Amino acid sequence: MTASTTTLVPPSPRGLRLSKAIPGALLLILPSLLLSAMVIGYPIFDVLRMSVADVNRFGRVLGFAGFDNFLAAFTDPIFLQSAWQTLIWTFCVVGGTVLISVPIAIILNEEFYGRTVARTIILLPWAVSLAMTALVWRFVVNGDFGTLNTTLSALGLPFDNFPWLADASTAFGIEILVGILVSMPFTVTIIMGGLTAIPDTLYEASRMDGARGLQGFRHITLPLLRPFLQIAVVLNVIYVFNSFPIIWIMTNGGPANRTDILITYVYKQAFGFGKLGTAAAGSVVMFAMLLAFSVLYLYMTRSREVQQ
Amino acid sequence: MSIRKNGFWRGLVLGTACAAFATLGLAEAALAKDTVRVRIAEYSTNTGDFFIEMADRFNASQEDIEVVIEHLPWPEMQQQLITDISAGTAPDISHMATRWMAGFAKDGALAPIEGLMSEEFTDSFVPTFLDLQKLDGHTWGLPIAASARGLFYNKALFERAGVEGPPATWGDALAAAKKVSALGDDIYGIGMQGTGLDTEGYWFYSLWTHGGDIFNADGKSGFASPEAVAATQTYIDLIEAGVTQPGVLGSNREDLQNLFSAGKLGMVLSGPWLNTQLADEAPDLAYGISQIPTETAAATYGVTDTISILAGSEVKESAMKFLEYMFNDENRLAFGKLEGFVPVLKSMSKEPFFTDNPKMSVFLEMSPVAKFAPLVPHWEEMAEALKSSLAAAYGGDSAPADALKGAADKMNSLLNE
Repeated sequence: MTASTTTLVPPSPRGLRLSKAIPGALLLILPSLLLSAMVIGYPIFDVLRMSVADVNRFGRVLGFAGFDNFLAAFTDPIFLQSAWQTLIWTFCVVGGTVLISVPIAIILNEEFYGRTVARTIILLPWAVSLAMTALVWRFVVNGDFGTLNTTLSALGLPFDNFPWLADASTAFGIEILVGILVSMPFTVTIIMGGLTAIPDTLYEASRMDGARGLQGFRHITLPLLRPFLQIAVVLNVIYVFNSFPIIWIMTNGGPANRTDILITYVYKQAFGFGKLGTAAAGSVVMFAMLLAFSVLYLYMTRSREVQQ
Repeated sequence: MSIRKNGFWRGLVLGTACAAFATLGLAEAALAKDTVRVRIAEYSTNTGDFFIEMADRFNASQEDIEVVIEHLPWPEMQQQLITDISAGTAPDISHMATRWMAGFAKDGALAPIEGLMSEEFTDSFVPTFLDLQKLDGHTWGLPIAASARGLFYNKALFERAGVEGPPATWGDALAAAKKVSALGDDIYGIGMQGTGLDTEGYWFYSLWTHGGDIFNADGKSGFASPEAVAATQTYIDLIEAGVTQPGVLGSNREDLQNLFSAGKLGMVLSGPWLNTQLADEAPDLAYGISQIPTETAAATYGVTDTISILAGSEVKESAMKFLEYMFNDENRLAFGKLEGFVPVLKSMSKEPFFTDNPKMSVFLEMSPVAKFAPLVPHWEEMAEALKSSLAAAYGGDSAPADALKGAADKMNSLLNE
């Protein structure tokens, strides 16, 4: 009954009519809602609880600790250093991924011979587990036995035995490049989805109006891609910010903690040193940072749309 | 096809029947038999099978106890054990690094075993190794493996470079490393570890042979003592002379062992397990093992691993019976031959396998000067701080004295926690 009326009469913009159906609908989705609340909510609750508790290494709560755990984290110079490195890591990987993915998606959106093969190749890194990719790259950049140095020296370049992972800046640089490589397939896929949604007629019309060169890209492609780029940025930031295997496997946060990011710091605190309280406090800080970023970013990009 | 299908159904019915009987049987057996779950960390790909076979023999030898072996790679052990203890699914017996033991014992995860051990069994151990398992008046485990470290040197490279015999002092080591390095661009004098598991151990060789120690006489950290600074300077001199492998800060223990095994490294400090790797990967490599070069004192790094009974176990006495079986002469000799560790039983110290083989006996000879990492809670975190300071010093980012002071301060504040 209600279904037929809603289809016949277009719903009012405020959705008044639909609101009548809400209690029944809520009841129907309640079981799955409860399940999600448990699966998502319980770990968050537990981490929050541990972050203000005195916990032993086996997760047994020994008492209330107030903000001692947060104090311990914030007075640890390595925590602050890791936080700063996390920002660099996330910014470089996500920025680099988007910068590279847009042109790739545009190329792959054109008709050309072998496009299917090219698309498959771009998606391949997605199919290999992150840990395996990191392990392979660690071998590739090995100073003495790695293929990278073999190739470079075969080209006559002076990179014989150059130890890429021994220096913090080259190690971090390589980890960022690997991060970009593995984030690309997902981003290209999203942007390609956006590109297929742009009708060709827009470009034809713009050409008739005298648009040349990159003008079509600047005034048609980019603005219409904005919602897709937003999604790509937000999801990538969340994903890269929390990404553990690449750094853990390639450098373990070394040398001297200069490639540690928050997630590796938290892992070391929890499982290396048995300080679950400090680790929980660190996780809460990470959670807050991501939440703040997501809200701020979505708010900023939305207000710009409204202005236009 | 049809036969196979028939076979399948028959199998299914038979299987179900068996399972039903087995459940009944188990319920009955549970009254009589104790099941002891034992978790072992893998030293090599053979470790798991070795212990499974041992458990099979043990199970067949008596009626009362059923031992089940689980085996895991070393890097996963610590986290898995912590997770299992917090979830209440920990095994009855677990293998661990002795350095983790202090923290586990302090948090009440381990059972004191001195009351379960017969006097005769207690007496069968070399006292040094058993004493290392004691803390606050209790014995928390048995030394399942022990090793000392030595200087491995490549005889062929030494001969080509005109170096006579292994260096006795750090000064000799620098001179020898210079000559070996001069042999070629991809030949390095001496390996220097800068990252990964046991980086601090590589530094302890130098610390102890310079007369330093982890604790000062006043019970505070010895990481920044004048001896410690001198020990670090010795290593920095090697790095700055360009006689180590390039990229010290990126080289872990395996990297160095691989370089030595590939014949590219003149010298490396390592333990008896390297013998096993070399026999496997480079059977033709001519190498010798000598004592760690000295400055003011002879020393080596002794390390033991522990096997403990967990506090949550309900079958502690049966667990101890299996441990007694594991530590009988026959099983220990087989284990020593398999993994190449130093003997921990008095009776094994005269075994020809350990005394007649020069590649094993050198570690036995060094045992009297062996020093050990201390059993203090938070040791992992102290070691991590030390690693970071060493990386800063080796990389030339800060002066050794300044870098080490950071680690010493961290250690002192952790000692007060």
